[in-house]
Amino acid sequence: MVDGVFVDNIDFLSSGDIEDLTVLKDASSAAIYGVRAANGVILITTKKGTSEKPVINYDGYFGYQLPVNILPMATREQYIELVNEANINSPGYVPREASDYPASTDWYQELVRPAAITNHTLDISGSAGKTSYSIGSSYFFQQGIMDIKNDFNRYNFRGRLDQTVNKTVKIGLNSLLSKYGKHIPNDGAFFGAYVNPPLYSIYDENNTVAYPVRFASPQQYGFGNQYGNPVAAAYYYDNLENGIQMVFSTYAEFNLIPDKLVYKISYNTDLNYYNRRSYTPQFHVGGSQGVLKSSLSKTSGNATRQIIDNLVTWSGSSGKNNFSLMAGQSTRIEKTGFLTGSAVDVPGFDEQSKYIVTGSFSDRNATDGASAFNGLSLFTRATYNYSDKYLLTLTFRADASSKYQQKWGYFPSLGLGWVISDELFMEKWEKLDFLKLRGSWGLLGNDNVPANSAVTLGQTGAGSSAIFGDRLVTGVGAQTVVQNYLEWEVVNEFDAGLDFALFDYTLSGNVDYYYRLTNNVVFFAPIATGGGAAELLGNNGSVLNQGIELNLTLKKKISDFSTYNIGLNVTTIGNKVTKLQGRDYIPGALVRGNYTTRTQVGEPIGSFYGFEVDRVYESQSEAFLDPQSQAVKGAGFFRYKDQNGDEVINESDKVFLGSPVPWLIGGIDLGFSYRNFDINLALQGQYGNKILNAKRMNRDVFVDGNYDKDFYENRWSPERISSDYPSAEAYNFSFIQQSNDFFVENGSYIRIQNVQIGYNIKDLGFIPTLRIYISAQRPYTFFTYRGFTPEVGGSPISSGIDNSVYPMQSIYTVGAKMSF
Amino acid sequence: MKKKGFILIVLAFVSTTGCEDFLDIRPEATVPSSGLDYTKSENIMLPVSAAYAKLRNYGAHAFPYIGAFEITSDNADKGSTPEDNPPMGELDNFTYEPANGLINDLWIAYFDIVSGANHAIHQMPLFEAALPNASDKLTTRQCQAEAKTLRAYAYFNLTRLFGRVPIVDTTLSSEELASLGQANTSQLYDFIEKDLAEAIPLLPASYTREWAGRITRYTAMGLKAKVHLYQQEWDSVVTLTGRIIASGRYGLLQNFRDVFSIDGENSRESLFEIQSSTLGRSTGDQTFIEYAYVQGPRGNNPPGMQGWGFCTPSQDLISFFTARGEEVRPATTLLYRGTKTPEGDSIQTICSNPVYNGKVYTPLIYNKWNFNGYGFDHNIRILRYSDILLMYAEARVRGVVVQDEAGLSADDAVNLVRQRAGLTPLSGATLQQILDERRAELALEEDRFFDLIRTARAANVLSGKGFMSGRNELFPIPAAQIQLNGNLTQNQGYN
Repeated sequence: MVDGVFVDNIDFLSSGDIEDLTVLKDASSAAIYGVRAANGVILITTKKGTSEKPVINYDGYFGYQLPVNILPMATREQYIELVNEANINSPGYVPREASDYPASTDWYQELVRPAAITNHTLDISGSAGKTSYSIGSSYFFQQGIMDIKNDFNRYNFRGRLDQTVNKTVKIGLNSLLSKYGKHIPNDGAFFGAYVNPPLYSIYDENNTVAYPVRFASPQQYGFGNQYGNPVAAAYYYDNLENGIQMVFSTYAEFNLIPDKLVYKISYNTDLNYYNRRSYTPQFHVGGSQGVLKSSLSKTSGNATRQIIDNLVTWSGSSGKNNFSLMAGQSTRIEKTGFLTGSAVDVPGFDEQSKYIVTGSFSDRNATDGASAFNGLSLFTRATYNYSDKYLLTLTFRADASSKYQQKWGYFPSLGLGWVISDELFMEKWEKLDFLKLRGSWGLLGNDNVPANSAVTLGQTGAGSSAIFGDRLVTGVGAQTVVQNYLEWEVVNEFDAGLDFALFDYTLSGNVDYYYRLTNNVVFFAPIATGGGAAELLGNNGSVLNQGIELNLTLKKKISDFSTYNIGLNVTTIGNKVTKLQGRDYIPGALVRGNYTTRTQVGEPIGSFYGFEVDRVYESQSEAFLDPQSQAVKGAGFFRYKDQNGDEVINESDKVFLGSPVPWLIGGIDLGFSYRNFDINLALQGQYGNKILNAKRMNRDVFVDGNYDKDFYENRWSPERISSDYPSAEAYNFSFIQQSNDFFVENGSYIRIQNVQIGYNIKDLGFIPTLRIYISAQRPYTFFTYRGFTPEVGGSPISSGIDNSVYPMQSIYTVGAKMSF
Repeated sequence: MKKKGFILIVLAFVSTTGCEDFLDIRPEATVPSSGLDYTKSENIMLPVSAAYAKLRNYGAHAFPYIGAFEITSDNADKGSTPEDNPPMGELDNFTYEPANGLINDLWIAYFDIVSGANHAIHQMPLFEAALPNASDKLTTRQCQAEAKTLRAYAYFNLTRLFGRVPIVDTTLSSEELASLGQANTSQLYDFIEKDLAEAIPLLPASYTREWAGRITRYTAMGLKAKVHLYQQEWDSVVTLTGRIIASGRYGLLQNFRDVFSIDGENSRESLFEIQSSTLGRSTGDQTFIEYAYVQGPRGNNPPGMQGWGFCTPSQDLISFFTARGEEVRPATTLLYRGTKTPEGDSIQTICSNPVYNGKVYTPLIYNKWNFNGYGFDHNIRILRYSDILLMYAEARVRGVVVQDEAGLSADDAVNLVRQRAGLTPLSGATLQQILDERRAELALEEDRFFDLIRTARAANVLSGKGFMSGRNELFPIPAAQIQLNGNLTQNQGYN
């Protein structure tokens, strides 16, 4: 939430624009922020003027991003060795020779580059009498790491004005205009780099079918159309997007009874307008990598979000009793829309020629789409505190959303606080500076779910229209499964914690126990075939998250010149499904004919489900003599563990293989300063989660695709008996390439998030304060997972399914901050 | 000032009172599913058209289809390169398992047709009730009959593939779908026959040219004859095929090659054909199916003459043609690399495979899609008149003596097919001769594998390919489907 406006991300903000950032997690404090806050809320305040004297701030850096942790792939010789082993028993297969192929290409190295990044923020703020102001602008430029025209630029303009009109009225205005442009790279080229055999070079003058550039083609060497030259894929991709985002908020506050009754009305809006254009020139590389005609597609779109809030607050006190009563109402309106047009045979001389009108008159297409939803809330909050020592907050909300069939939900919450350190009996505990006991409980409705999806819609368009006599005859179809009546997803949250500070605030921190039970959890779940739908949105059950959260900060002055600080935060997560609606389990994440996750009561949501690998058969005879029956057996094949002891491997031998949810997430901050120098180090990590290495499981389609080097080095072969890796031959079998604990890997990692060394100078002539620094962001990540990154997202029941092939980046920068 | 503030508050609350409309908004850019205007006769076709559109599903009639129905047979090899697409290789050599993705695609795709047909079937009575005009009411019943035929067709393929599948004939909840049990083969055939029996009297004998591709009375009769053929109910086969023959509406084209040409689409030889067309466009929404494309010459140039190269004619099929001294049918069925077609296209020597399916051959002049549009305008021939004649002949040879409207002998029927193929007439044709004729006539048209199963010849003929009796007569219930519906039980031989 940026200055009162809900946004989906803060990509449009520059870090220099931010004054303050607060995280609210417990039900009672988040309650007031309503239906978007059920999973917590991050409040961001942009800068505003405070001092009489205008202050000018400059904050800027230059830097480079380096691609890191690129998964090493097999070389030509290694690939040939593997592919020959894989096909040792394929009828009609003629072993290949490395010398028949012209190159050993590392496609990733051909695609990446170090990329520049820079940001500059300049702002001025101050206050004069009844007016406070802040105006700023920033410029951000970032190249992408793909070695092709591929960048992002953003100009921000920000202004904030607060004006006290008179004793009664105060008004304010805050606006941020962000204008951006980007050249979008073809991320698919990285996928190409992952799967393409390393056997051929980038260019080949003898590939006579290729034009306008003589790229080499995998089809020259007999590879199927699923492969295409990755560098060519990047080269012929010409997409760009530009847009404007405006975040605008304004309010008027009326002090109806001074210090007693305040009425505030505010209007907040977030407006996005964007244009995208994708152009493909006429080209051919080989196989199906090419187009007969150039083509152009243009999309104009917008997304708007508006919130109107009305709040009345009455506050009063009597002696040490302080109380307030607030009533409010909020209206939300969100809309998105786009219009796309396309044409072929569009000349590509320059940007000026890339218009639909310059293209062929036939084959022009148009399509559009939109979404809309509305929400309405009424809420009230009462607070009471006695001498700021005993605190009580009661909130009650009535929220309505057009996304739910059950329109209205009712959500009470309660917060309690006791500042124990203010009690007389605590006086003898001199070392204890502060101690507060907190407790909260509440229900919060969440409407951050797909809009209007639990309704049967008419299926229109070409896909629902028959052809008769070479004409398209308009049709309207529909699913034939009963849609669920969607009720509010409700988070039932209990939180108890202690805030404390010791030894003159040298050591401070908090510890919390949290219990979050999400009832009627909403997501798309796969359903049995027959209703014309693969999945259905519904209230699927209840999921519990509980654990301990600990934050500790130690700040210590060693001498007059030096201080150090140590920060530690640890959160444990105990995730499990406590209830499922109408079924025993929900399968998720279909990979190669099997659902690879299972959501079941008593287990974490979306747990991996499959076979446990018992061992790898060492020899043909061992496999043959083994009484256990399984679909494929042989030297170098997995022997799956027979869980039920019936000597037959089938569906009933599948077990839970771990969860994509970590048990523990945490971070450490270390800081040290000596005179004008300081150094800071931040570490971050997680432990206990699993990742399904799904990108390794694509050998049904990419059977002769490249292998990662780890597989080359560790595979089973007659010369190198492995106990946990299959042979190259077995690796291609769907029986091996299914969810099992070879593909379900440990996702734990520790990352150096940031290292910064700074030097502060005071009173340097006309610059009162100056800080210069060098920093490294994400310079190193420690993990064992055999992928590009251990950070894998997903949806509730198919999380941690890794198909990503995009390299991570480290960022090294030099920067300066100054204020006048 | 105080008053103004309160007025604002009051206004804000008043503005929210019309909240039922505010909160009850329909999704943008959509139409309601029910809530079609049932009083307008021009809307009758909407759900029916959508049901037909599902026939173009990739799973039902493209890659997985050619795999399960033809590559499994002795007529075809997997094709492409040896290592390409292991799941298809598993179909070719009978090593497939319940998790084979192509088998799951088939299940999903045919049930999708069932769902589309169910929707249309249930929408028609709503039109019938709302439309006063008797001829409109008749149209709704005819349209419902088309949808029932589609449902029967989908269930016929499901039954041949899986033997035991759930019967879904109405809108169910996801819980109900997840707990359906399987009907056995005879229950399924009863269900299929009931749909077709109800449809036949309501369907028209023909349509005008602009409706080419719609299901006629004879489509349903032909399908029903085939359903009886698979149950060895020979009398019914003769009666139905006899009626089709006697109608005089169908006949064999003179030239075998024309049957598979673009001009030969929806010809008098065609009883059921899945329509695929680019509608003359080169980009945009997909109105075609990649049935021909996946079988097109692999690695050929120019790009419009290039496909994936799957389902290549086997040496066994080529030898079979040679041994029979055939010339006409192999010239069309087999598309050799290093040759030039009579239509003028080169199948270049750089192609990956020596020979391709010539019945899906589509000349370059039709392949204008941007990019690789081989055969996007090629319709899929599901049921041809020669199949009708051969079913008739087979049933007669098997000893059916009942009178029928056509009144042909087995020899009469089979010789019509042979004559067009440039072969000498048979006299006193044997069952084996009829079955061989089927193979030669319908090669690579997704008939052969289940023909071998229904005549119990698969174990003999396909043992060399890895076929195992007691297992491969049916495909496994897909693993994913069992994971979605715990009440489904696996077929014999698949654990």
